[in-house]
Amino acid sequence: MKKFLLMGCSILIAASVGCTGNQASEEKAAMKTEAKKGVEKVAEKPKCTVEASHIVDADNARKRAASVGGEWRDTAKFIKQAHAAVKAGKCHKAEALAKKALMEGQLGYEQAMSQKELKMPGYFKF
Amino acid sequence: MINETKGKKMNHISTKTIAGLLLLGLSSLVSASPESDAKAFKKYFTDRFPDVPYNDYINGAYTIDKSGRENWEAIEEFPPYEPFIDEGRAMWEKPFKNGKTFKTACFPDGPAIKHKYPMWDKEKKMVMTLPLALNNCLKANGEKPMKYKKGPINNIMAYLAYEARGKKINVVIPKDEPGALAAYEEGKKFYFQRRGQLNFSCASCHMQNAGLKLRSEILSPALGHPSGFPVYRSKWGTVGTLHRRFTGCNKQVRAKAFKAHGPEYRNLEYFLTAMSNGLEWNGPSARK
Ligand code: HEC
Repeated sequence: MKKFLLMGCSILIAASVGCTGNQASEEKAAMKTEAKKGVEKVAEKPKCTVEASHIVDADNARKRAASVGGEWRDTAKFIKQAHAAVKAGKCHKAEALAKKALMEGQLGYEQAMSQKELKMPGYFKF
Repeated sequence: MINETKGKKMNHISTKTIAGLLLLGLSSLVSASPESDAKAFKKYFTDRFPDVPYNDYINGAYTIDKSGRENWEAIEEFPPYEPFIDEGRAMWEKPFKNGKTFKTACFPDGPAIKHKYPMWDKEKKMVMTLPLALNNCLKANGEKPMKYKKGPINNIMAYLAYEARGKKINVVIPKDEPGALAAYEEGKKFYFQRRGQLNFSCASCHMQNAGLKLRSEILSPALGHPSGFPVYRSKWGTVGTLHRRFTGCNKQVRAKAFKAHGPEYRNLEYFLTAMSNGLEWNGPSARK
């Protein structure tokens, strides 16, 4: 599981770095054209397409945890904030939030599954 | 074990008697569980706090918080929940649009009915809590149901708790209703399951760490927990229900809370209240 998480994270990081790299150069290009036109306009926001798909993954993990009563308190909030970050064109922030939410979803699910059978604590004696 | 007994007895008595004995034995094996749980629950706390008289467990953290207790007793002399009781009485007596009241429409034994809940509803095959029953009554009479955590529900619950003060907690898990025992078991599991980012169960705080301090608060013992509800909490600045408290405790460990009076919390209330069978109802009460 840990291995899986690590792998997932490094893929996520690679993807996000690659993606924001592109965005930066696209932004520059866009700004240049705008400048050429002589129009005073803010650069178009990056779309964060990859990040948006990671938010979907995170939300699915959250739903899976919820299906066994294992959802954590802030997971949905992180997802909401991640969506807002995408809207604002803040791809890095969106990615970080999606990653956090994904991990919480996965851990919440595992936690609930590990507690499926009732185990009475040792201090509770009959 | 059971088979062995069966084998031995076979030699002496008729099979019919044995069948009867076995049935008895089995059902008491199954149904003994909530009772032996309650015994163990009580024993855990009476061993842990040998100086605390059993009947005192209806007072939340003040059962064991000696320094907070004095302050609390002073507050209880001019109880901050009193206006809520009065409001609740008015709600109880005020006729619905159809002319009926809570009493004439749904609760002929009222207003002292709080001690009958939570109960197993044989028709609906589920645990029925008092707030849910009140809302069902409102809906059946064309009235708007109340919100479960804040607002008028606290008034009427304060009044109904007041009217049932001194009655014994006596949750019944009917033996002829397998669903009731299953609901109880679900509630019990919920109580001991670790959840949230902090990975705590209810029992981690209110059994294992009862009496210890968490930030500025002494963790109250679980025994007697539902007795004083609804409670006026200074932090809330108002009276709040048991399920609001459940919500707060779930969120504290960074778990998502469940729906008030949904199946999880209803079953939890069923288990938790059954653990306090024999103690008195003592709501409403004040908390810091
Ligand atoms: C992290 C520790 C913690 C956990 C876990 C926890 N609680 Fe609490 N609980 C508290 C604190 C702190 C209070 C306020 C002080 C007190 O009364 O114990 C409290 C208060 C309560 C009260 C009110 C007691 C009273 O007399 O006013 C109830 C009932 C309660 N908790 C039930 C639960 C249930 C049920 C769970 C599991 C869903 C739970 N708690 C889990 C810390 C916790």
